Amino acid sequence: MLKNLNSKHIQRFSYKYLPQFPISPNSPKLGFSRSQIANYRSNFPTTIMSSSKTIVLRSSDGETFEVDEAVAVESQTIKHMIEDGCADTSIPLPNVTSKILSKVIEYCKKHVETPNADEKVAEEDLKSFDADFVKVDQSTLFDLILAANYLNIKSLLDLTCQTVADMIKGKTPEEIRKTFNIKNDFTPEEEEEVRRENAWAFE
Amino acid sequence: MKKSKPNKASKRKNGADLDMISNLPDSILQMILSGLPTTEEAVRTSILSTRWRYLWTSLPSLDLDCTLILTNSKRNEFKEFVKRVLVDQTRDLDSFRLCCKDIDMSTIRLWIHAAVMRKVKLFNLFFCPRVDERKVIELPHSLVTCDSLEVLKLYLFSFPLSLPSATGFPALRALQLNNVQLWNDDSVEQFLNSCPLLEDLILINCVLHSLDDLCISSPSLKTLSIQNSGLFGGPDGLQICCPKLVLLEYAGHTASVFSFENIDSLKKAVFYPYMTHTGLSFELTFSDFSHAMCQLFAGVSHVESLSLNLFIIQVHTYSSLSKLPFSPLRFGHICHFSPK
Repeated sequence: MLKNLNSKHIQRFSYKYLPQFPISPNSPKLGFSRSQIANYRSNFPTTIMSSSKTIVLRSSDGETFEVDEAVAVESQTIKHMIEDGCADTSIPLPNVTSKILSKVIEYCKKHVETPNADEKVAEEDLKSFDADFVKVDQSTLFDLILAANYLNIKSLLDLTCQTVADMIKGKTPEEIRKTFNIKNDFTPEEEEEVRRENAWAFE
Repeated sequence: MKKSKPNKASKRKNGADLDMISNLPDSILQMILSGLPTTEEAVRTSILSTRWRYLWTSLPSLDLDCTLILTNSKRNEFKEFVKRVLVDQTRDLDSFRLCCKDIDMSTIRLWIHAAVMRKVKLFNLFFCPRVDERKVIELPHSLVTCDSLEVLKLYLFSFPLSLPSATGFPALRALQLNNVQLWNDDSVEQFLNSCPLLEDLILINCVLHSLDDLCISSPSLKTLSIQNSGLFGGPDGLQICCPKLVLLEYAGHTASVFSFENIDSLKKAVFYPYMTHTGLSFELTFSDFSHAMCQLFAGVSHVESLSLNLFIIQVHTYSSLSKLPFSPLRFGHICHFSPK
């Protein structure tokens, strides 16, 4: 029976046959994605003997964080650095402080661990995690936005930007200025001009 | 406002908290503005400070609604606004939603043309023509030949629409026609055939101008959904010839003749038909209805998943078996059956 399996079968049924094949995450023949491997690891922690690769990330203030590769590559920036071979010792992230980096890692871990099945429970759980994750002060929120942008983590960037949009939604311009400490630097004439140009929006 | 920790004192100016949001790069501020629910709200941020004045001009999607305005002066204000927001900008548009009533056709054409120049991908038009311009609506040529348009949704308040027959939309993937009267019925088939990439077709409450058969024939169509709620229903006869069709949905007032040709790829069928009991549809007696249903079921007997509503089952139980050709039908591959 085994000899009739082609690589397509191996991908689909390999959770049953896994112990018999030597697994290397980078093996091109078997073509496992990194998230598939992370998934298998959580199901068969003792069976897979290959190196579960970890990556060391270094924040701007010198602190190091060791994370699973599967978690680190949620960031497209880090993923490209690894693929380009710049990740031998550690990856320096000069634009991200340790406080923010630890939060980002927490986010990536949660999103990698949650299986992608369309289960209601998992989806609800992830949504409430996300909602709690962004309950931080403004300065942390903006730092998270900048970090998500630099590290190119789309889902985190979408989440944080939408949080800020929700803070702007429904407020008058004066209220928005107060929330974010924006200084109104228009001259009265300029302000009048803007109001006139966009009259429809200021109904 | 919170006092920050002593080691952050260097970031503060004279005890006033910093305006951190304005220090974010333009691209991020535009992402934030895209998260606002309406275009008007995004444009209102132009008054916040000089930094914010022109950020909204690069928004990738527009949502403009003037259905609630009544006076002419407000209407002119709206036209000015649309000009600023749509016509004077050049950035590519991802999506454009326009809801308007009582705006003249030439202005609408101008706006559609501007959207096409900005390579719009999704266009959603909710439009009621002005009282003095209520003739058959024709889509502007620039829209039909637009090679960036992927999704088109039209809601025309049951006014007649003439579909172009010589050319189809080159890049259109999904088309939704809601409350549209299809003017030249035979051109529907030609039109669908000339949209090479069309995959989803949704017809909601569409009537045919002359109550003939509706023929849906497309080499690429994967999803077809026909919904007719309301007393006047859809076509008398429905003919489907779509080799790649995977999902077929049919809800509402039922046709009396179904004809399927080459729908071998069909995997899922959803039928929620009903008959209205008013004078109009008494000609569609129970046995006609069940005959139509038999044709329907015979045509889709090879599906994997079938969803029905209780109406069909009620009809079955009320009619005597001798009259009904509702004989045991073979549904060989059904894995999923869900009566609603």
